[in-house]
Amino acid sequence: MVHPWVTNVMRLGDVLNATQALAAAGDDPAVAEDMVKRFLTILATARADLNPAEVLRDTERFRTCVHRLCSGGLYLGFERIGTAARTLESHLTNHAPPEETAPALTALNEAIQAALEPGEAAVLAWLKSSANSLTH
Amino acid sequence: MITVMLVDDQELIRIGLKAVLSHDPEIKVVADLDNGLDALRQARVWQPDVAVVDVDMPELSGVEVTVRLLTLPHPPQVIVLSVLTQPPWPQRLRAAGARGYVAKERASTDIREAIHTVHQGRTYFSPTLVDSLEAVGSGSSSDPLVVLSNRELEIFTLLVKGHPPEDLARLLHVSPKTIYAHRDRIRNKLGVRNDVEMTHLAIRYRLLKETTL
Repeated sequence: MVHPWVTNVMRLGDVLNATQALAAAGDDPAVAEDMVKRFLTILATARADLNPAEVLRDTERFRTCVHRLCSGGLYLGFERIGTAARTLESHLTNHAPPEETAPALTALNEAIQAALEPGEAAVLAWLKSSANSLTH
Repeated sequence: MITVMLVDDQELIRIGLKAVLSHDPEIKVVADLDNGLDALRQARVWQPDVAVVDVDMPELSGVEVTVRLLTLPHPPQVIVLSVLTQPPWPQRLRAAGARGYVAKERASTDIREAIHTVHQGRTYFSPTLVDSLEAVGSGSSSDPLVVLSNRELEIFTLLVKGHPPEDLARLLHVSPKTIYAHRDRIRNKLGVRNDVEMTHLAIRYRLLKETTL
């Protein structure tokens, strides 16, 4: 039986590449923590905006939101979010039909949900433990 | 000391890049801006050696910022920073005069080397972009805008944004006749007949957003 702690670490590892997050912050744990907090706040806001109705209401605003998730996600190490956002942005840019855009939107929302579910404290603890293991 | 200006609409990324660059005693970030218009103004003031510019920003795209930075009396070397790593973007920015192109997911590892490299007068492209750039070398790029020179791309961008040729002439300190000559040459190169077709091309290839019209 896999210990719950191991499962939790694996899940957090899927959410955030902590090594990348530290590198993105110049290997400064305090800056990395600040950046991760900011990105989690962006995610919480984005979750409300990322729905099919919003695509139809204001496509450009929607695309900008997706682009920022892609950009921030890839830079900071929220790789699943960055990759899912990149796929969705590509569909939006190419005016792909809804049957292609919808699964990409679902994938992005699932990635956001997975990042928010553990809670800020757990993600930051994961970042901190990774920073400690890298410096010792 | 290499002076650097950062231009990215996401504060998060500017914070990170500044932290990364703070470890390099030969690099000094003199300005960080969240949009292209401010970048053009501040570049005149600070005259940075290198400008690191995001591609996808509101108001002015990275392409336009790059082209216009290079027309300044003391132009910086431009490094583009983007998640757009597939054709036509790297080719287009290189055609616009960018000396470097760094994939955003590799920015923390590549940016210092990129800055030093372009400051020495050489070009730098993230290793992950090699395949994309080889597509141009083999002539397989599907972006028609890469055939335009820097000056033509600048004029094309301003024309499709609705600037009348007379205004452009004043802005660029040339005669209206020169602008008309450029416009004709651009149309010939792109195989379009009028401004409407030029605008459609600009939207299709993401030089222009529909909402900016």
